[in-house]
Amino acid sequence: MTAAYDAVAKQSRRRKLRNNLAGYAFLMPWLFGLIAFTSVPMLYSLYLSFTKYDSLGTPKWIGAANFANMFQDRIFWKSVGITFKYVAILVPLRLSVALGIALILTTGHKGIGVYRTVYYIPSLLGGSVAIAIIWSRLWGSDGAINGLISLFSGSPFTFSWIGNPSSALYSLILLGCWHFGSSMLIFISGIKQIPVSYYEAALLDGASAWQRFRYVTFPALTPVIFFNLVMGIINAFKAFSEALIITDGGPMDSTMLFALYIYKQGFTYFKMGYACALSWILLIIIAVFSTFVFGSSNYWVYYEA
Amino acid sequence: MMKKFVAIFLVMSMLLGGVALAADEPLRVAWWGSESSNALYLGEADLFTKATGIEYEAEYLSWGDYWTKINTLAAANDLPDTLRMDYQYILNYVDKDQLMDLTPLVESGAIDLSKVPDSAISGGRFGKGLYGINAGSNGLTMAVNAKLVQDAGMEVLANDATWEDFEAWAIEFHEKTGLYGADLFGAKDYNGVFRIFARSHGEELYNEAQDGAGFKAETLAAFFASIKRMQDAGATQNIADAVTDIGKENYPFSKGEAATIFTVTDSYTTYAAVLKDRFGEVPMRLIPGAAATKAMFVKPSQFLSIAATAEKVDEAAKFINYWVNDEEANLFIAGRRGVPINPEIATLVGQSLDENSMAVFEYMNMMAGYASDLYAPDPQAHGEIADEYNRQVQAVLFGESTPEDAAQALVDYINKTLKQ
Repeated sequence: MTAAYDAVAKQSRRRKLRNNLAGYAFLMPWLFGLIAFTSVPMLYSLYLSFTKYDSLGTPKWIGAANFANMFQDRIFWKSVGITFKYVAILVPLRLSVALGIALILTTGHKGIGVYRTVYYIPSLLGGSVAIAIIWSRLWGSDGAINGLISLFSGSPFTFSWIGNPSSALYSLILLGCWHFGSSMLIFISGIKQIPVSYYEAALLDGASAWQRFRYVTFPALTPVIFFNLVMGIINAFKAFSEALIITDGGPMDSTMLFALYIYKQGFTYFKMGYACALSWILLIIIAVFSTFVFGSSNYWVYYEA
Repeated sequence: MMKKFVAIFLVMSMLLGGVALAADEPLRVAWWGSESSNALYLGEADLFTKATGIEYEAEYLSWGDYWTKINTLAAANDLPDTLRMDYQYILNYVDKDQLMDLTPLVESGAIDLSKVPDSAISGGRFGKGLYGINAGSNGLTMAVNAKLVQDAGMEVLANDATWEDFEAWAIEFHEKTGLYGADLFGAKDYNGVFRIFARSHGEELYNEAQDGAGFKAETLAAFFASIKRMQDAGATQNIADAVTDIGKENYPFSKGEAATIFTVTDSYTTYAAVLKDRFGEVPMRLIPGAAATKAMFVKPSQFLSIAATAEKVDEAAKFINYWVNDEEANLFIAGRRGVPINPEIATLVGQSLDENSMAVFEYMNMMAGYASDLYAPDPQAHGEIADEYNRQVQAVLFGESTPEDAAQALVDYINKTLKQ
């Protein structure tokens, strides 16, 4: 009895192993990539964050000194503050714009497909160098924005939006906001998923357009909003290329986003150990925020049963 | 199944490894440069391939990006076979054993320096070895748009003008023309103009032990105050506009909106080429205030080095040798890299120089008479300190700090950073 049972068990275990092996074989390219290009560098950077390393010599173990130094690093704190401000303004703004335009683009007017494509183009251009340079020209003291202001106000206006510490960050936020395309596409597909019967029922009950949005569209969209919110927060914390190209963190560090500060420490000051320590702090910050958003989702995200 | 698994694995590792197995890789060469000098060096490298049959692969970037990339490649033990080094960084690379001692290659004649005077070689000696062949030196200069100055009814400043003369001159020029008397150098250049300003007060950026600032806070405060006065008078661009200028072609001087600019002699030909057609002469002057105390310096800036990890040492040596000794190559470059170190080549090239390169040659000769000893290579934290300088100069020019406070803040920062 037991022998027969064992034989069967052995056979099934072998089949299971074979299945698993095939699975792993198919997974290999991805798994290889994950281990070689993500896990190993991450572990190495964790090690480096406890060292002094200028990338030419050999890393020297200095314990937690990199983390202790952060407390006295004025630019570190400033950079944290600026990054929070950037995320706090950009994420809600970009989400509202994306949602607003998605709502307009699902109303079923003629030629809506063209508009969807047009509004998505900025996201395709994304963080490209060309866009960053155009942006810095648009908002420069003799740029197109000031040209328009001068035209309408009738007097020459030459405020350099990017060159002044008080406004530089906002010009970057606007650029980030302009990249609303991918969230918009996700919103559009989310809105299309909402059953028409809900709206018919609401209409029968005499709901106004606002009420239909507030009590049908919005609750039904919350899973999509949640997804866009999480992705938006993560991406905003990692924002880098715009700040590097347009302002290089200036003027007076007013656009020193955290990712840019990491880059500066690592690749311009060649303090690789400190840069690694900083990037782990960024990881922790992002993890905390993501956890918070996930935790809060029980209270405001509705999943259809 | 297992067999298939192994087969897949083998195929994959072959694909990955195959790249490294590919035979006959070209010689890897790297330098930094502007667009015009890149075209020049590429042309020279092409001549090298024609003459020797050795294929090359070039990596060239702007100054800042170059060092980022080279440092990263060094960390990966993947430095190009031969690469351009600067005085500011070479010692750090030598200290970390990243560069090859070229002495054996010189002794074997692979790099033929038999005609080169020792004074032209010694700049590349660090400790026991020779780590770079310096194929050209540079210095700082003030380029002047002479036509703008004449139109204003003024004279181009003399070489022995003081800094105070310069400030008054720039403001007067602005009042007469509405243009800028000076491009906004101060915000951008800790390395250059302020270094000369400090040297003209008998000071250096760093003290001899390199554990603190080598200049007094008052000196920097005076410099900051002068720039601030010029900006407030309209004699230089406003800082808010200056920080958004990307690239030389956007500088007011290049657009004919400023009478002077402080620049490295390497870049002079770029400005001259842009301005000569429209404005005529672009003379060069010493940095104001430097003449009386011989505060100028001549800096080796064209070290050609071979990486310690180089795979194509012979080819790399040939490349350097070609660069130093070949007539065709040097006639092609026509001295735009500085005076050739091989005197025979220098004579040859001297007869066929274009106008702008001739002007740089003459300026360098004249300037050498106002130069004193070169400063010691900067400490490794120099880049970080230069950024703090930018922060402080911006704080002054935006009116958020006083020259005195900002100067003291930078001195404190240097002292703190270098003691770490």
